[in-house]
Parts: sequence; structure tokens; C-alpha cells
Amino acid sequence: MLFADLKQNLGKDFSALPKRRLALLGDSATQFLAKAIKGYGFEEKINFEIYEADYDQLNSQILDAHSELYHSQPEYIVLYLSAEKLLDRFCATSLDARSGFGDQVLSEIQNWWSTIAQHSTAKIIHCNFVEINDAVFGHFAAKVPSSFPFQIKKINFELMRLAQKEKHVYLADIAGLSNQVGYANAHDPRLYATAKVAFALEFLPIAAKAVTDVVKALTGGSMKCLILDLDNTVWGGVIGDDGMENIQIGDLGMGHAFDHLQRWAKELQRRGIILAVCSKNNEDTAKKPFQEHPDMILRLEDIAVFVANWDNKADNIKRIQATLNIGFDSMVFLDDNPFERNLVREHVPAIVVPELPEDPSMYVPYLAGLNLFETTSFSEEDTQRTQQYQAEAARSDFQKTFTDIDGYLNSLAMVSEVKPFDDFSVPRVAQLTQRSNQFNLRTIRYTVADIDRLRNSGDYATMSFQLEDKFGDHGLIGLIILKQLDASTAFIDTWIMSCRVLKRGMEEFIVNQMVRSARERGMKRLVGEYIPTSKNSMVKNLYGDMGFAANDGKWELNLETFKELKTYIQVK
Amino acid sequence: MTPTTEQVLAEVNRIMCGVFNNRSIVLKPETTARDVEGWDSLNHIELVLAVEKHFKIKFNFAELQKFKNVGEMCNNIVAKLAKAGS
Repeated sequence: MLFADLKQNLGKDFSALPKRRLALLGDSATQFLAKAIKGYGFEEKINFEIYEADYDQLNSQILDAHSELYHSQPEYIVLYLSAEKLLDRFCATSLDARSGFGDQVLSEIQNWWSTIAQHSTAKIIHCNFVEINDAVFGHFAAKVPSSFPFQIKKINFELMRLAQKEKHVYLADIAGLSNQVGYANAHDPRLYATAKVAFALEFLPIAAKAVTDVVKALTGGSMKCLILDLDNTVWGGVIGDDGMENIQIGDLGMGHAFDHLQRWAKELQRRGIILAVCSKNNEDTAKKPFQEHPDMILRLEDIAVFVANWDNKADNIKRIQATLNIGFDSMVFLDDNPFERNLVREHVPAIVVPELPEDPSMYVPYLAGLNLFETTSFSEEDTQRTQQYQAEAARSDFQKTFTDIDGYLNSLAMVSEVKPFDDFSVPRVAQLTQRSNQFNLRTIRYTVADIDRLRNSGDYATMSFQLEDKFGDHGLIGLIILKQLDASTAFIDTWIMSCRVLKRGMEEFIVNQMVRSARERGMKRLVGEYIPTSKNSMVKNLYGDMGFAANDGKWELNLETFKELKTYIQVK
Repeated sequence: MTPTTEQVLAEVNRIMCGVFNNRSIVLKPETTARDVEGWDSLNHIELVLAVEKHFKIKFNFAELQKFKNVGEMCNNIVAKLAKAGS
């Protein structure tokens, strides 16, 4: 967010948003910060009513029981002292008093905190200092207690210790945020020199977010649960296809990026965030790495609710919510797949769904920047939450469905291009026959030469399926090889589909297309076969579900009586 | 191609309308802060930063102190752009 965007928000309608009375007191010009907070509040659905004290009036406003500050009856008082002002004051301090400079500043701050507590029930959000180095001693300042860098770091450290003892004081870690973007981006010397604004324009939204995050957490808006997709989110690769040995964690492939995410999730779990899994997989397959893979950081006992099936994720998340009995607005859902993210956003609007970067090594840095898990308390109880919810999950009923999936699929505007294999698709087709394990009815492997032979033979009809929807192109996601057995029978030699497009009506669409192709050749029957492997149990009922009749170990569809299956996919 | 002072003035005018959230502002070269409602030191610095960002230039502190009116600022911008382009 840019400051200009936040300013634009000021003209918007706040009337429906809950009001929060906030007072802002600073020793530099705070008008921009006040605007930024007000504007950022709109993003977070908060109508901040801001009392802004005049420039550098902390003492008079805080110490006088009848001041405008207390008249404004703030719920939150933001105290924001600039490092630049602090440096001015430090330079005006006599040399022999400099070693005690920090203690002097801290005792004033402490006095403010306790005076505010006497006159007001407001919570204090105290911004710590941007840790600037005046370059007087260089790096050696660390060894000189009378240097400014030493004193300012000491103040920030002691602020944490003092705030631990004060129930009404919360710190906003402006120093940490400034470290992330760099002082050159947190402070604009010309802005300070001309208008005494200590934060750069680019930094104002960051500071406004810090204040707002604390307010949100104080009003009960904390996140309680992190729901994780598995394939390409918690580990690299697709476990159903690649097998447990080949998923990327630890030293394999991009494994370290996924380690990083797992470690972060584990730390959240240790501090009381409930972890849940929501994955399109067979449950046994999905659980196996949590139990057996030596490099997995997350273990089954870390997960409060584990949902792995082939239902749509919005339904599964609603089941997780019903089990945990917490608000959707306290849940965060991580998934690498934009389709799943959008489906969940559409059907569970309150849930937070971060737009994960494509590069897994950026997952944690991106998520850390969002600061989703702000909190205002931490206790022993938090660390034991997972076990409580695991017990609850064991009792709960997972059968209900909630979601109007037809409406969603219809809204996706899906189109599929259907073509015989061509020079372009042959390598990809051969690769799919080699690698697909889950949605693969017979698991017959073909080489490029095999595929070339098939497509040039009069006995076979081939079809590749591409899919795109309003969110983008999924590429080649399905293939069919039909073999003519006799004058009236076509046999489905190969049916492979990508699990990423499961249950969107692609199965029905493919059946319709097979029927069309077989009819064009004058066929009367379509015969399919399911050959079980250790990985393809997800399609064992596929032919039955599609209306084929079981016949002597195979599945048969009568083309003379077949009625087109319902699907929301159009031929491109 | 370096833009003319008139073109730069038109751009600055557009930027100012955005920063001041006031579409009715009409700048002339001789316009000063006193002629425009709400042109205080904070709005001023915001305008300057927005202009810098738009033209991808930087004013130094001394220049900021020196401009007597909008025209001087625009001339300075044109000079900077010409130098950058040469």
C-alpha cells in the first residue's frame, strides 16, 4: 500500500465500520501518520476516530488530568517518539550525563505510562525507536556506553522489559520494521528538514499497519488457526504421483524452501496456533510423510485436524471450522494453487487467504511481512492447545456438505481445447503416461515413439485436453487413447488426468468427448477398465460414477442410449 | 525529447490536484503557495515528493527553499530532464 492510496481512503464511507477512538502523540509532525492510520483502518474495516495532539505536546497532554487527550476518551494512545529528536536531545546532554541518558529517557516514559493509567483506561501502544547510528564512533560505539547507538539500543531493550510489567502497555516494533526496509527507506532527511516528518512517505503505511495490527489483536481480531495444503505447499511435488521418497523436503530439490515453511508453522503451533491440514489426497497417502518421512519437521501430533479427501476445499474448511468452533475470520489458509484459493475465498469470504508467491523460497518471507499472527498475550495454556483440539476432532462428524459447487464452477467460465495428439503435445503426452499415478485408469506407460506409432495407426483415436478458466490457463491436463476393438466397440486404452483439475466437471466433459469421437466412427459401445495399483485408488469408482455399467471386470457404456453428462466446460 | 515548461506545468497541475484532492486547481507560472487554498508546508512537501517520483528526478534541499513560484519549479524540472536526457 502506498501513502497516496491510504489518503484516497480518507474520502471513503467509514460509517458502517466500528469506531475506535485513538490518540496520537508524537514529538515530530504526526499529521501524515494520523492520515495513514485513518486510511489503513479502512483497509482493516476500522473507523479510527483520531485525536491528534499538537506538535511535541506529550508532557502537557499526558501530565494534565484535564487535557484534551483525556477529554477525547481514547481507547488507544499511540506514543511515538522519533529517533532524530532523541539524537538532538542526546547531543544537548553533557558528556558526563550521557551514560545515564537512556535511563533518564526511560524514567520519563515510565512516568508517562503510569500517569496515563491514573487518568485513563486506554491501552498504550508505544512505538520503539528506529535505531540510527550517528557514525561518531563507527562500529566501536557498541563498546562505548556513552555513545548514542549504545544508548538508543539500550532504551529499546529496556522498553521491552518495562512493558512486560505493564498490563496496559504494548510495543509497536518500529525498529524491527525499519531494519527490514533500511533507514534510508524509513526516513527522508528532506521531509524531516522541511516539515519535521520523521517517517518517509513510503514508511508511513508500514508504521500505520504496525499500530493497526496491535489494535486489531487487542479487539480480539487475532488469528487462531493455520490451514495447510500439502502438495507444493508443505512439500515440493505431488505425493500421490511422485511417491513419499520423491517429495521435496530436506536436501531433495527445493526441499529447504519447504523446510522453512514447516519450521515456521511448527513455531506457530508451539505458541498456540492450531494447525490443520486440508489436502486433495487419499488420507493414508497424505499422512504417511508425517509419520514416516525422516526429514519432515511437522509431525502428525502437531496437526489438530487432518482432512485429506477429494471433496472441494471450501467444504473441507467448513468442516474444520465446525470441528474447532472458531470464527472463519480467525483462520488462515495456505495453498499454492490459485484455483483452490479463489474457491475458498468465494465460499468462505471471512477467511484470510494469502496470495502465496510462486517461488516456494519466498513463502515465509512473504508471510512474515503480512504479520498475520499478531497477539496480545501468551500463556502456558497456548502451548497445549493442539491436544485439546485433536480430541475434539476425533469426536466430530465430517459428512456434511455446504457449498454450492455448481454455481462456482459455472462462474469460472471454463473452456477446453480438445485435439488429437500433435507434434507439439506428443512429448508432454508421453511424459504424462510415464509420471501420472493417481488419476490413471490403467497405468500403461508409453514412450514418445510409442505415442507416435499410436497416433498414426488407424486403430486408435487420441485426444488431448487443455483447460482454461477466468483465472488462467492450466495447460494440457488430460489425455485419452481410444482403441477400436471391433466394428462396434471402442476401448479406453488410456485415461489420464491431472489431479489439479479434479471435480470441476472435467471427468464428465471427457466422457462426452469420448462418446462424440466413438460415435463419429460408428461405434455402439465404449468399454473402460480400471487396473488397480498402489496409487490410483482415487479412480476405482470413476466409471461407475460416470454411468458405465459393470460387466465382467470391465465397464461398459451403451452409446445408443447415452445422454450427455452435465458439465460447465465448453469446447474451445 | 525534453518536455516544454508548459507541458511540465500541466503535469504538475495534474499531480497537485491529486495530492490536494482538489480538481479545480489551475496553476500558472506565477502561482505561489498563497494563491492556493490548503497549500501548507505538509502538502507542499508531499507535492514535491510526488513530482520527484513522477519525473524520476530529485531536488536538493537548497532548491526546495529557493523556488519562488510554480514557474521556477517547472523550469528547474525541465533543466533536470534536459540534463538527464543529454
